[in-house]
Amino acid sequence: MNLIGIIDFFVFIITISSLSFVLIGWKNQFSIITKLSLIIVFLTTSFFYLSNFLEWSGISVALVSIEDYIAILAPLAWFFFTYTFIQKKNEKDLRENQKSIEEAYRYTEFYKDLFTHDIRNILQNILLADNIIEQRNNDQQKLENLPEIYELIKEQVLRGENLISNVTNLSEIRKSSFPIHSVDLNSILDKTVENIKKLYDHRNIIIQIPEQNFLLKSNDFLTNIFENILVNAIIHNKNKTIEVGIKASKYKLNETQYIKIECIDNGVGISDNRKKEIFITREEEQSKFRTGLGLSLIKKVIESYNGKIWVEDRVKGDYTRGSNFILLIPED
Amino acid sequence: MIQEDELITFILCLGALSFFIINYAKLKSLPGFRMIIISFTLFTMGWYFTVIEGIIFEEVFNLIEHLCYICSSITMFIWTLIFFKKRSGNEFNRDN
Repeated sequence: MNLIGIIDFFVFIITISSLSFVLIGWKNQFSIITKLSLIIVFLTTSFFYLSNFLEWSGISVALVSIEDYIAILAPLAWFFFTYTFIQKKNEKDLRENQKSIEEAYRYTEFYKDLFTHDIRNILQNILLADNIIEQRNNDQQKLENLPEIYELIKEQVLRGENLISNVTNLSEIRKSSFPIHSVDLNSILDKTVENIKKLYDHRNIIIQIPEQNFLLKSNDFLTNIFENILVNAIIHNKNKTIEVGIKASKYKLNETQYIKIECIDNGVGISDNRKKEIFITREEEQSKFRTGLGLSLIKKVIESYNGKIWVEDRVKGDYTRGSNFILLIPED
Repeated sequence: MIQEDELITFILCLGALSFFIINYAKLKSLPGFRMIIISFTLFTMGWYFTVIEGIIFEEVFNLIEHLCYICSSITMFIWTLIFFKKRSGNEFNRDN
């Protein structure tokens, strides 16, 4: 056997091994047509190399007459293999594009819905306050109550500002994934409580934060979470003194170590049938009860941390005595 | 002497190779696609030398032709290994 015969023998063996891999190893890897064209590639090249081996080793020349014609099929089969692969990829890309367009449309509708509903509501409240002021202009005695009306206007403006900030945050969360890093719970709470007290300086607010510090696997959005919870506790509270107690403790669930954060307020509370609905995002919401954007935003952010959130009554069985928002965030 | 069927196969190989290069961006998602390109380029070169050996230096170009084929089959075998490994790691979905 000469050198070329030996080379062709190895070429044939290697090609047959590749064909065996295709046949045995790649179950369900390609669609039938793509796989078939790949098998044809290996069959034609194997035949071509076998014919070469038989010819150059002097064993037989029986295949030589048809060798070149079979070999013509090899580039055609290669072409067909890549063509079908590209077609499938194009189909997949098209499906993905369609999906992202549909999603973008859904979000546009969601933001439109959000603004038309909530902003209109805020503007109506301001208009109402303006009407009250106008009516009282003729009555000097009633003018004494004007500061309350101005507070109402200020609260509505703050609500609008909060809404805009929440929409911006929600849009940012959707657009990109924010890296999760170690966050100091107490420093976040200190910062948030300071902001909230400045914002609602006209209200008598007592917020207690935990003494023990914990490190959480989260990011800067944690500030938004506490801001939203505290704002809700203040807005939905009819007491002269608004009390919010924040507790933190270690909590193990399904082999994961969490920090359990409880935000307990003395607000108006949340009835049992509304407890789940308040976390429903607008895009999931059909004709259900409408709530502000805040809690759906919180849920999205907490889920991005692989955490959990739910709400319980401050006093079990009596929702009217306040709520207890419970957050589980993985410990760092 | 140049044989027509060899020339046709070589031209078809060139056509397929051009198609691979034109669609390189799309085919990149196929794991180890560079190996396919290298393998097919070597296969095409083998056919080029098949054609050339009909004109000059028959023995030299014939040897080079067969060396191209062995290199082509080795790279193709490596590609099947790469592909199989990627599939095992669930890094590739059906038809991408």
